[in-house]
Amino acid sequence: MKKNKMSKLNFREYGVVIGFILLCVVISFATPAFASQKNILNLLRQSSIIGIIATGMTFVIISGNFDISVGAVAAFSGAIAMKLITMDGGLPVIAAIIAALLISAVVGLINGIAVAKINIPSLIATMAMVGVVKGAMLMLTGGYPITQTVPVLDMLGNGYLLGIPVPVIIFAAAVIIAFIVLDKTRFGRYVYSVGGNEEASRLNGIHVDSNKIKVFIINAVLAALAGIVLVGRMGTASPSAGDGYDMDAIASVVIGGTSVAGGSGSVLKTVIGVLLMSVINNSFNLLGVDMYFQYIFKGLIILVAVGADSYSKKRLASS
Amino acid sequence: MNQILEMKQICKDFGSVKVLKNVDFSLKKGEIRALLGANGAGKSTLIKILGGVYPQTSGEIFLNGHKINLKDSSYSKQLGISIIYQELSLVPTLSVIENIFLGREYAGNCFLKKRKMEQEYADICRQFSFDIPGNVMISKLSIAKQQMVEIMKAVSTNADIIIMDEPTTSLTNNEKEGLFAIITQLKAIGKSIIYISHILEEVFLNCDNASIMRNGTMVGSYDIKELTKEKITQLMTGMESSRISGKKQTIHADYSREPVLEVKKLGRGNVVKDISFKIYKGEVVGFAGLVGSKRTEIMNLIYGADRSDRGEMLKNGKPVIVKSPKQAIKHKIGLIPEDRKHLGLILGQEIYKNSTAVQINKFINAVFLNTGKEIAFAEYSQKTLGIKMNNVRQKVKELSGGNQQKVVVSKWLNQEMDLIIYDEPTKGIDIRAKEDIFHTIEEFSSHGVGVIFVSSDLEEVLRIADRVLVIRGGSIVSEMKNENLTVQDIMDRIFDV
Repeated sequence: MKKNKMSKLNFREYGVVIGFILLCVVISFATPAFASQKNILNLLRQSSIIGIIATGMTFVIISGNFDISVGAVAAFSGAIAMKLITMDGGLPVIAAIIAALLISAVVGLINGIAVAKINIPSLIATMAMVGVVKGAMLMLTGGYPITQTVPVLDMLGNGYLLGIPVPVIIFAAAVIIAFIVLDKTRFGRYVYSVGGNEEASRLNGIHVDSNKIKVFIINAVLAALAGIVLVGRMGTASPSAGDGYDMDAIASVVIGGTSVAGGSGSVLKTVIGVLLMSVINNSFNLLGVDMYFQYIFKGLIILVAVGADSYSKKRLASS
Repeated sequence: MNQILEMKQICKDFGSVKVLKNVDFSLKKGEIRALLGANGAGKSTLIKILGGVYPQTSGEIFLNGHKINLKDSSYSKQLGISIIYQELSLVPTLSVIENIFLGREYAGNCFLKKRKMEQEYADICRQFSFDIPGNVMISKLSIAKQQMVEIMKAVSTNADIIIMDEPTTSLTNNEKEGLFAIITQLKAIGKSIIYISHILEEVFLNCDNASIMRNGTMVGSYDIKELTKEKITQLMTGMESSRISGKKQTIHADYSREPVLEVKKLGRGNVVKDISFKIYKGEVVGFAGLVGSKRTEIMNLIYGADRSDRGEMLKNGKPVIVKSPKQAIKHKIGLIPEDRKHLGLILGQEIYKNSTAVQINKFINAVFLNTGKEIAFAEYSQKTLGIKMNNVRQKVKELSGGNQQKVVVSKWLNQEMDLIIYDEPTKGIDIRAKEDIFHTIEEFSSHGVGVIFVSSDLEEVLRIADRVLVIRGGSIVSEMKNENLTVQDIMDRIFDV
């Protein structure tokens, strides 16, 4: 009886991992191109940008919130950096990147204040922020892409370090730091606490609001970082960059197994979610599956992942 | 026979706890019956069985002489039993009429018959000289008017038995008069009413008879003319309780020094009314009062969970300002909250993480949490408090109520405290665990920590407290040393005999 319960638990914990491995095996048999070193590196690089955003999103979702402004923030940050570099008397690249990250941090701060202090549901607050950020970006760029080859940005987007694509290294670094912060620091503990039970956290002497705000700032900064990597990769800051990234990032987090109810989850799960999404995308491309069908499939997979979690919670609550 | 309702030998168990023991209850047509008893006597359980909220474990219910099986709440309503709970069940964003007909709208094949519902509502209003416009949204009404709507809703369903659970708690005197008039009218048209109240004056004013419950049993039903307030509290307490059971034995209170906490005219809005009291080093002070007497609200002010708008607090003679739990903890004030599942614990988290939540700073090396130290602390608490668990990495929701409560207590171990508030710590936990919780109170007070002990169980209060404060309606109405004190004495103060 007890053993049965254990194996069930384990399946829920590792189900995604097992699914991921199975999928990889099946696909490498179906299309031998999948397992080639080139394809795998390519796949990892493709995952990195969503991966960096999803890493920040993991903080937000564990804290019991959502942020759908990340795609807009990523595009905005890329545009700011490009604009600052290419304008007359342009800033040094590093300064431009720092400025873009700082401005995005302010966007995160505003999101956080709107959610924590003013008590706007995070989905709505960040939805409104999408409009603000997109508008600001269009004003900044005039609606046209800013294209210029900037060596440092190009390095960030397309370079290799010891044979590993730089975006993958940035993604890995973000994951490792995020894992340590969430698992090993007091702030991380507070993120789980606030997401698990806000009122109990407050009675434990935790400053709930400031921790929520920090979460939104971290998320925005990571989204901005992803945006800069994206610009480097494309060589251009396009106003339509980042569209759909919010959904991909949220999907990756929840498919990895982090509960949308908040209070539990892990960036390591998110990594699996990100890779799973990429493998699905990649294999669909290799198999030549219709692009439009891929959208449908992604939507369904979110419904299934969140549905399984939410329904089991509902069943638990009513029993 | 004109008994409309008869309940015979009703028993109700929740797990191993017997909440109702062979309760008999019957009601005549057109009778107004008071149902009285202290908190935990079993009134609500009895009512909820009638309402179909939960089934009885054993016993039979007859309605108009026919045996019935109240399988769910909508069936109860169908049979003409309507309950008006203290927490109103109206939809705030719908209008009065929409609420009254909710779930039984008159409708044709496609559309609602609004005209018909309006007419019926107008009829009810005329009959009971009731004057709330039917198209007003519920949220725009005062609580009192909402309650009236709730009563009208019951009347409109043609309920024969209307149960009112503390209907006057949120009413002004004028509104009470209105309610009493409606009750009289309901009686006149042959409705039967079960009236639950802790305000005995109202009972004498409105009711024909009174049934009194104690500890899950029915003490008896009496003609209201045979009863006095004293007699009622005696029956609720039980004669035998004048004996002192489990009296407090050791006293750690130190009255020679300045009190650890002195509260002066502390208040919040109309809820907590300028209360003043002192807690001394090592003293255990019981806060007795009925559920709803605002005891928890007072505790929330002391702990900074709610903000006071007047008055002051002194810790060891020095004024302190506590605006948040964080500040309270800094001032060495701890709280074991009333609702351990929602306020005391983060259920989905591991035991050790709950244990160390308040003093997390102790478990940090430079910037990183030292999980090893956390686990050691949790294991130490496990041993000290006798928490039954497999290991400290278990999720706290997997533990039983008593063990969960011990995890809440463990948050305050091993740190210097001046005051710990226990708010209804023994609710829903078994006797063994209760003893263990009492033991922790002893332990704290023997180390000079002042303890506030809030409980509805007066025997517990007598057992543990050095001094008893009685709370009624957000005020302290009485203060007694626990010397030769009986449950009856406290009960008399609570009910203002």
